[in-house]
Amino acid sequence: MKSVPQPPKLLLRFFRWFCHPHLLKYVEGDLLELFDDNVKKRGVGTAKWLFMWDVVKLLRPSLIRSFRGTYGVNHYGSIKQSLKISIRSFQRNKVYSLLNIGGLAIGISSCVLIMLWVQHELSYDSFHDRADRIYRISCNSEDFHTSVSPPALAKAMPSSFSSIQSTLRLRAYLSSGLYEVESKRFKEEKVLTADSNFFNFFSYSIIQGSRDKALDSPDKVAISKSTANKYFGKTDVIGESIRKDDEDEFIISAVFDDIPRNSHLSFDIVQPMSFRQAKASFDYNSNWSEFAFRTYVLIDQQFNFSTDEVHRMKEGLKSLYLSHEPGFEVHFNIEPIESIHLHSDLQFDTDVGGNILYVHTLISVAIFLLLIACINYMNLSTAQSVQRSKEVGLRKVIGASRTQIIRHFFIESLFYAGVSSFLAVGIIYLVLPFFNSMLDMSLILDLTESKTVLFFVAVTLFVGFLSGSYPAMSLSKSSPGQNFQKSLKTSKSRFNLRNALVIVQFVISIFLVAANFIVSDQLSLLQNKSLGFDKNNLLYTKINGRLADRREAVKNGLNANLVTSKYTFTSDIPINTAQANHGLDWEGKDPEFQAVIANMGVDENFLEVFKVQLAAGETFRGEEKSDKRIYMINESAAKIMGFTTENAVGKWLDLHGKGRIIGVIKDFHFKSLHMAIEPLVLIYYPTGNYVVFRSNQGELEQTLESIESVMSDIDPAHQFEYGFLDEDLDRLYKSEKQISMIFRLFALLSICISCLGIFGLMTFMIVNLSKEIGIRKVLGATRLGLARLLSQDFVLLLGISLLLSSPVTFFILDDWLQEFAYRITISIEHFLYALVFSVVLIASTISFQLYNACNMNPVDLLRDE
Amino acid sequence: MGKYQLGEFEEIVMLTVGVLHGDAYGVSIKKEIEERLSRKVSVGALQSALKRLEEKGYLSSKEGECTSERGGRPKRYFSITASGKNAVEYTREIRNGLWKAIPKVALDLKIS
Repeated sequence: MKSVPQPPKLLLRFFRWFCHPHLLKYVEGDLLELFDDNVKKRGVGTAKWLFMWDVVKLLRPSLIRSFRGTYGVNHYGSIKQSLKISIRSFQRNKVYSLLNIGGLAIGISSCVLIMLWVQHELSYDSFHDRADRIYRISCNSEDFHTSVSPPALAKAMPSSFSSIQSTLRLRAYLSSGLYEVESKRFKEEKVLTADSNFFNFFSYSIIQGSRDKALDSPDKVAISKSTANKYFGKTDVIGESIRKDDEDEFIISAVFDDIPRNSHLSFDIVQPMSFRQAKASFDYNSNWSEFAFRTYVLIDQQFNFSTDEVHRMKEGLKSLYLSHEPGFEVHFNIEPIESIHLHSDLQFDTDVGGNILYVHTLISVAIFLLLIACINYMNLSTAQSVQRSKEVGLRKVIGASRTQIIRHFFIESLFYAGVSSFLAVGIIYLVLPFFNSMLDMSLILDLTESKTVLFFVAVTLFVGFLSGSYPAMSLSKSSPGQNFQKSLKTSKSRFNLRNALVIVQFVISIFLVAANFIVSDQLSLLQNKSLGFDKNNLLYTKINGRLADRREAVKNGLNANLVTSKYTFTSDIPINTAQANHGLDWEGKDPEFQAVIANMGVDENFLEVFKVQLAAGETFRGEEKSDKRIYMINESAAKIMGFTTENAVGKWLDLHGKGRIIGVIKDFHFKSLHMAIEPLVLIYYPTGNYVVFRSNQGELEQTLESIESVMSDIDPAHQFEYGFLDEDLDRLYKSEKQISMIFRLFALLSICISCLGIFGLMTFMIVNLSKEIGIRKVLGATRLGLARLLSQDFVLLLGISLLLSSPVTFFILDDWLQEFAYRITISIEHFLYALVFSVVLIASTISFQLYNACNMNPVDLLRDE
Repeated sequence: MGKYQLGEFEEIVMLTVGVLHGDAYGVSIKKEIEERLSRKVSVGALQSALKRLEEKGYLSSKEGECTSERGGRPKRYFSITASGKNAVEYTREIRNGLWKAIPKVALDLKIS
């Protein structure tokens, strides 16, 4: 058979592509007929040319494919239809849909709440205009890391390093005291002392006065807006005067906006450094031994401050220090200001509690919660798959392609995610006040900010696509025939994937619950650990001004009353001892050895009031002359100095003067339990400014009243302020407590969402196995047997999840516990608690369904078919 | 043209469909026109005219049998509808009216 000439294939395909489908077959027929005709009459070549010409001339608007409707590029019609179906299936299965939306909404709102907190944590100090160029110089000697540095450093740095544009010195909380305007007196704790360029260096906003001149003379002071309102009832207070401790008078030179929460410095009043200098016993510009200042530097804009440069500067600082203080080796660190909150963990810091570990932990929790919510959606959608598969089957019979069905399910899941997001916004607005008061935060959800809206959109898309993926893939897979079967056969692989999802959910939930038990155990350890002194019923107050001058009168007044007679004067409150010295010397000290040892001035009643035990030697008697130095040390200090507890007594020690060690006390915790007990030196110092009282159990009120009356008898203007040591101690673990609270809340939520998923899955199983249940009942199965049959899978999954999550939990939490010097060990019990907790919750979730399934009449289960 | 809109080419196509009575499909119409009028007709022009006429309701079409010679594609046969007939007749009457209205002198002058 001779080959029949064919028209050009490419042209034909082109024609088929552009031609309107209604006309295609007829016109194509015409073209082919003409081609054949032309081949006969004029030969193949001409015929091809004519064919081409015809095809080109067919390119007319009326004949080409329409761009609109079902043949076009947008899927408006099918999206509209999918949405309609989604709404209908929502209405048909209200319970499921509400479970679904509820789970997603809880997941999304928790995630957003956590992210609000994370955003706050990450935003610390980023509001400074030059935040990327401001660094803080901190230092350490051996293991003693501190945020403070000597005052001369800031003066010496610009001439030693060309990269430094300017420096700033601060002293934090030194000048706390009683401030007074006319009759209004308040105790102010948050008082900074700063160099005069403070407001130019940082970008705290000033609402009255000038940045340049706010602190340029010793009698000036800058106060915050709320402080101004507190004393004057207005903010326009430039030029007004304010008294401090009845001694000094300041002129208000500037009013600044209240310091934002995300600043590592928090203060209400700023005093000029020149004021402190006038009262100080040493020259701030040349002193290299008084580590009491915070030094900040601003790096020049043109300077590329690379890692190498940082390293070079550190070395330079070390040798700079050595050149001024030979023999004492100090290492300096340079911290970017924005990382102080989360990355810095130093002694005497102005900002405590931030920890990058917590941020990471909570970001993971947020992701986990979203994941659980998505898995939940998947489980609930597959639980409905028996009904939905008929719909899918019908779509396929009508001619839907797999892509179209997948798209349909994605649109549905996006619809659910969208509705959930809207709900989540509502939930967040409702919950945020509680969340804030619980965490002592002031987070806000600002929907006018594009970042927030973008985050919501991103979360919605993520949830929509992730949760829709499994139903879309699994439901679109089967052939129409399978779809119309009465019940879905669960193929082996499918069952495994769903089980895997359930395991993931369980693993996360068990992890969160177990972590919760461990965290709260650790926190209760912190609160209940024996500290070496009795923290209960200890209250303290500070005496200053006139009271301090009339110390004897105060003592006599206190001694006169039995409830106030147990007291001691100290230089500091033990839990926040602010003094540590390196210039310490003792008998037989290795000259190479450098030690920074905390010290505290106490009087003769200290041991009795604090109930600290004496290990060796004797205590201060109160008869010593104050010009003769005597010391007591704790056991840790004895160890570090190379003494034993017994032979330390009688050795000499030199701290602000040589003197004898007369006694060794048992170690007690004078700092947070994050740290091990440090060496401590007690100096006999009967003129401390703090008075610590030991009140009798149940007589706290009475004690307070008596103290106040004694104080006001001596100084009628005295503002009595007091604190409790146990409360202060608790406050040291505030960040841990907050985290544990967030953690508990979200662990509970995650379990709840998981339970919603289990509920859906149980329903799915019961629908699937309804025939089996019916037949078993007919054959005489007991209810208990049936319940076991239906729940054994879950028990198995729970077991696997426990096995999987235990090691993960162990490693993560063990890592966290390393933060503490005193920590619990993670035991099997924690996991058992978690298991019992989850089993109880899951059991209560499915028991109702199990009960119903086991009590159904077999007739109802078996009659169709 | 009042209520019946018919262009010159459309009129020719309508009349040709009438001429071919029962055998009017794409290629036959094209050939008929080309033969009688000695002018080239492209497939595109013809098809769009046919589509327009069908949309106006002057032509109706039905699918014919499939034959092997056209690559298995069916033919689409056209026939004139009642409204199509009215349209053609209306056009003719207008033309006739116009012819009658021309004064003899005008024509004579032109001829000479």
